[in-house]
Amino acid sequence: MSQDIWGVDPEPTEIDTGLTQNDRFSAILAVVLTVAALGLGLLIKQRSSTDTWPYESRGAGISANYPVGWLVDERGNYVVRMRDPKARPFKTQYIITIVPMGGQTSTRNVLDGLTLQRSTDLPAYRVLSVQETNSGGVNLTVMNFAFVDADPNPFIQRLPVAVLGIDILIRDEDRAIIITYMSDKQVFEENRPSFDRFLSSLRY
Amino acid sequence: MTCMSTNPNTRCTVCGQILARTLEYKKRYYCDFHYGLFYQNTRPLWRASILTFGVLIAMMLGLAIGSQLAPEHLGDAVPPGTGILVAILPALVWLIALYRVGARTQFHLSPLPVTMFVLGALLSAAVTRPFLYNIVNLDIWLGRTTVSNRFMGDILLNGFTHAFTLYAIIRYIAWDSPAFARRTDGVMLAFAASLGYATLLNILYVVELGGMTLLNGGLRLITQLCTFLTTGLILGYFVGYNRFEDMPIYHLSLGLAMAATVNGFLLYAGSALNSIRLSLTQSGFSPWPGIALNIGVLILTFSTIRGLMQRQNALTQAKLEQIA
Amino acid sequence: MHTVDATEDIKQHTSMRKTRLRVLVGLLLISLSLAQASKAQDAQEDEPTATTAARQATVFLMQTYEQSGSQVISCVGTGTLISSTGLILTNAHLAEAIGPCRGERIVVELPVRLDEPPVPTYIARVVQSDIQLDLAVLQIAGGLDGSLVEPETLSLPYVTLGDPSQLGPGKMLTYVGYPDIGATSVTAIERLISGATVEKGGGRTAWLRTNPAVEGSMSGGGAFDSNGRLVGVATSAPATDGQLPGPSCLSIQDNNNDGLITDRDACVPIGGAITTVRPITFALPLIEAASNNFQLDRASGFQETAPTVPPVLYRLFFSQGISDVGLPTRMVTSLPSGITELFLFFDYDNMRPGTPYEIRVTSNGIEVPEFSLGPLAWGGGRSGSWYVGTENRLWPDGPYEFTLLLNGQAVATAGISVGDASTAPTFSNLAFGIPDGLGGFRTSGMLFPAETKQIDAQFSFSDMIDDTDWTEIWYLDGQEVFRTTRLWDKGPNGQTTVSAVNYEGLPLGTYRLELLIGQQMAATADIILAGTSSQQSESAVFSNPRIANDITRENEPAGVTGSVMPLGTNTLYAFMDWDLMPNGTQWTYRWFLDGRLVASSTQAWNNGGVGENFWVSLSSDQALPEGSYAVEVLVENRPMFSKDVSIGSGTRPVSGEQQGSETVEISGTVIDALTGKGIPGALIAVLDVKLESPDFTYDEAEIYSQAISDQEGHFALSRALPRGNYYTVFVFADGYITIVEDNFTIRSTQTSPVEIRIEMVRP
Repeated sequence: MSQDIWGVDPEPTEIDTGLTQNDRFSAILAVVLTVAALGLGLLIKQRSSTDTWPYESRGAGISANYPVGWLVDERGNYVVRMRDPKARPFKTQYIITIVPMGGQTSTRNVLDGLTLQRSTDLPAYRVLSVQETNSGGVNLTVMNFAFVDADPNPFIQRLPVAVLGIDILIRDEDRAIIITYMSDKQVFEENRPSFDRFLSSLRY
Repeated sequence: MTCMSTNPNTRCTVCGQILARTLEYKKRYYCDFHYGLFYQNTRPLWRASILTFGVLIAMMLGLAIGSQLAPEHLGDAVPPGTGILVAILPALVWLIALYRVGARTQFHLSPLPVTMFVLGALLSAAVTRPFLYNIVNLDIWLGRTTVSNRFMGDILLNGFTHAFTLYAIIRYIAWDSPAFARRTDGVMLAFAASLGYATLLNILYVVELGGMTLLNGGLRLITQLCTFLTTGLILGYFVGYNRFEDMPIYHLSLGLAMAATVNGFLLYAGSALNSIRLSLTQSGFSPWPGIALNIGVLILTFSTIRGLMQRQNALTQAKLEQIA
Repeated sequence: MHTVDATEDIKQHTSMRKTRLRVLVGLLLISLSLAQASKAQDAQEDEPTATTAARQATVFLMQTYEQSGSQVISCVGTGTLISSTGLILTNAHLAEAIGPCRGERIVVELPVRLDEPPVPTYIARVVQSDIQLDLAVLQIAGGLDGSLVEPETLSLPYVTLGDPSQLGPGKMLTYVGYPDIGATSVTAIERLISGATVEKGGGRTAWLRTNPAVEGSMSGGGAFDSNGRLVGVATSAPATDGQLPGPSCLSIQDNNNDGLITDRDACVPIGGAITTVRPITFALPLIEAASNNFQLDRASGFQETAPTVPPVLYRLFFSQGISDVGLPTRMVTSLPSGITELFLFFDYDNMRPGTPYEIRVTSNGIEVPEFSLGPLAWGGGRSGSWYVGTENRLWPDGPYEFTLLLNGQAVATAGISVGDASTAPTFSNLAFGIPDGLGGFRTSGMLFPAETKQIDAQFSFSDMIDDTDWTEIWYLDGQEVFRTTRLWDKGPNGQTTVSAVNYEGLPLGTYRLELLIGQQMAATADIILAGTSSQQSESAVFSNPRIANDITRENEPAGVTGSVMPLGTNTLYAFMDWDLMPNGTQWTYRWFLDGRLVASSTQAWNNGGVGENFWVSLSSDQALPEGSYAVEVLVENRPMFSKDVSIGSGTRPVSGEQQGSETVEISGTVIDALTGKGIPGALIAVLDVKLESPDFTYDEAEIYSQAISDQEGHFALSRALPRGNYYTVFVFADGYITIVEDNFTIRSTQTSPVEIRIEMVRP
């Protein structure tokens, strides 16, 4: 049996759909359910973005919380280096270094030492600024720098990446704790809040 | 419960005309014409859909053969035009088949499915994509987070956003149209909306990627299409059911939640299942598991809903005939 | 009836539709399987061949120097990476400042993409070189910008060494190199081995020969066997010394800044067509020394001034064979048909290292390349006797003209006819010895103690005619000291002896005996008298060997002496006294480590006749590895002494290089599965073999090897993976689902290197 529904019944201009109370409440419930689901999803997203793993170096007397899923390396000439394995093309990283300081050593001496070392290790290394600041009652020396990250493997055609970095030097009695943040210039500011959280979690 | 009413303020739930003689079925009131219509089958829907599924399977095989036979320089990426063709073809087939089958069987169809298709497409581009990718930055987060978070994110954010958008189109636009006169029209309209929705999402996806591989890219588009069609079918079933019966308040939300969950799960599985073994000879990726699951779920959902709808319609018809 | 017909029509129609559908599905499946099969075949064809690894490890070398602030190319060639740490095997004439090469800066160009020309990448320095063998080993030392590189961090592709003794005529060799001045990609060319060439200094397989020739700029590149193992070094030198532009010296740069590239600009010499391969066996000591970072040194001798007069080649003659000590056995001027051995002898003087020399053989004016040799870089020292020849190769009948060329100019010729059946009186098998009084020799060879009273020269004769004039001439260091002409009275065939006698003892030096029949030279040979007589009447030049690990300013042993040295020793000195050693005599010192020859040097003696505390040394920048060492000194290939010494316990630990041979180098591409485009910046991490993904704590110490993909998604793992293990691999890239694979298998039979493809997908 075929039926012509369109020609028979012209569309009325105003329709009273005759919704029941169930209909009205179910419409509201659907919206509420969606909002709740989205809210829960956003909450998970927000929490996962700030999820951290704890790190502790008993030898250096340092602990901090770093982003989940980052690689930890303690084999270099630093206390620890944390790298985001997913970051592209440059791996965003935090490095904690401890430099002994004598009575005559100034923070500037330490930063100069860093500059000399990095000038030989990192292509186009430049110090952008150095400033003294105070955060939460702690005197900090902040050095901004930039360099070019290039892969030495000749078979790998990776474009050099402009990297921005910050060294935060904290004088802790006879040692300087240097917390370094390095990131691709393009996402430096985007990743900065995560570093700030890392910094605020630092205990020494 | 079915009964007759003589309340002068009662209007037909489908066409809205004031009823001199009211026919009621489970708290919905009908004019004479629509009373005999709402449990009828929208036959072109089933045929057009089955044909479209056949075309989807043929496209899968065609893409597989095409990618094998394509010259080496086409093996990696084909121009976006090819991807757009893959994205559009199923929609064209379904829409043309729907109206052609309708015409051949003298089953007159309103333009509402086309409207739903266009609305679905517009909302996906104008609302869903900006919300998910520009505001929530879902793609960035899902690419960084853990497996469990990705699963939850796909359901709660992806699934609910997509499902609610499609639900809203059906519930707030199609619901009040007199062209939505049968239970199965709900399925047809939701299917049309999800088809439009997925088609434009796929086109934008192709444009964003700027070209894709014939096999992997093409199958990904079909996979996503299947995901949204399944979502649309589920929503269409629940909305179609609810449109012609007064159901408990949780009924629509249940459908929405089920559609969102299935949508999120299929989106997740469509990617995750494709991650296969990495070895010296295997690349860690195959496009087949994801699409197999999606097309399987689509056909299963379609068959189930068709069966449920037909069974329900038959029961309703029997009941009404008994009363008559 | 009508109804039934209609039903049957419908059935028939339905059946036809079903059949059509089945046919369609069948066709689709057949197409799919055919396509799969064709793809599989393509994949099989794309499988890396045995030469892929060789091509990846083949570098283009340029020697450059600075002129008016510009870099000028002085010579070019090919080299082969033989270690992941950047050791390159090539020709000495491409590495040293000899011939046209200036030796200031060696630029290494790598085949970054095999289908593209090489890319200048590194600077190399020479770590081992043997001009006589025309072999050198370079070490990549820095970047083009002057930055230093750590060899251990290079992780470059390299080839494994093969065994050239398994090769012979009819076997295939694959040359890998650059067929022009770095303008095209690395090329592999297959050639059949046609035979071998005998040469003084190289012995019976001094050169493997192939036919036809390949391009000269591939000189220094590798020759590989069918398994892709390095079995030789393709060798040819530029035909000229690069002073004048021409076909063998191309002007490619505007050196005089006149805006044009003309003949007035410096030219880059191109090696002559290559048919000669130096078997890898000759390079092994150099490679061992370079791998162990060994350096050889010796007490300095008298400074020798470079010759100022042009080189000369003279006194050419042919012999049908050579004795075990390299003496001509039968001088000939014509030969019967069917001969398979022929040797050309000649004397040389005022030769300079690296001078291009060539032996061009023509027959009726047409060159016969399989009997020709070179052009090659001269490595035989300043003066002496030389021979070149062939064995086991049939010489077709005909007249042959041998032309010797230096710097592309013909300097001497000699002719011989093959197929001439005429017989003539001959002397043959001239052999020297100290008489035992019973008609035999107590000592034979070509090295005898100085101050010996009598040296006998025994030779065979045939077809002699009595009463023919024959002459015996003895020379000492080039000066005639004895001549006598007699009438032959010993019959047509037999054996006889002539002697050099001095009852006060024959003085040290190089002796030459010439025997003439009529006016025609019939036999000749050189012998050396050096050293004192040992108990066995053999020559003893060096005596009193001692080992020490330090030396005083007065060149005397210091530090620890004896046969056991402490760990941490970085130099071994072998001291010795010498007696009656004529200057110019070829002598060799070589070091063994655990029985393997690890360093060797042959040179002309220039320290005078008698002395004490002459020393040779083996040293390293770091401590010498623990193990059993031995030093051996030879004069004219006759051993003088061998002295053992051990460092530490004398047991050598397994080296990283040896471990490396059990590993598989992995490189590849990380691509977006949907777009097919490379994913830059992806991190590929392979965990330690004992770890699986649940055990991974994201500590980088747990990562055995890793790599970051480049702009195109290419990567190369930092460390090769030992075979026969399962590994866990992580692939991280922002925006993509992380790949975690716990069963990444490297079979024990897996070839190296291997290229993999990783496809990542967005969530």
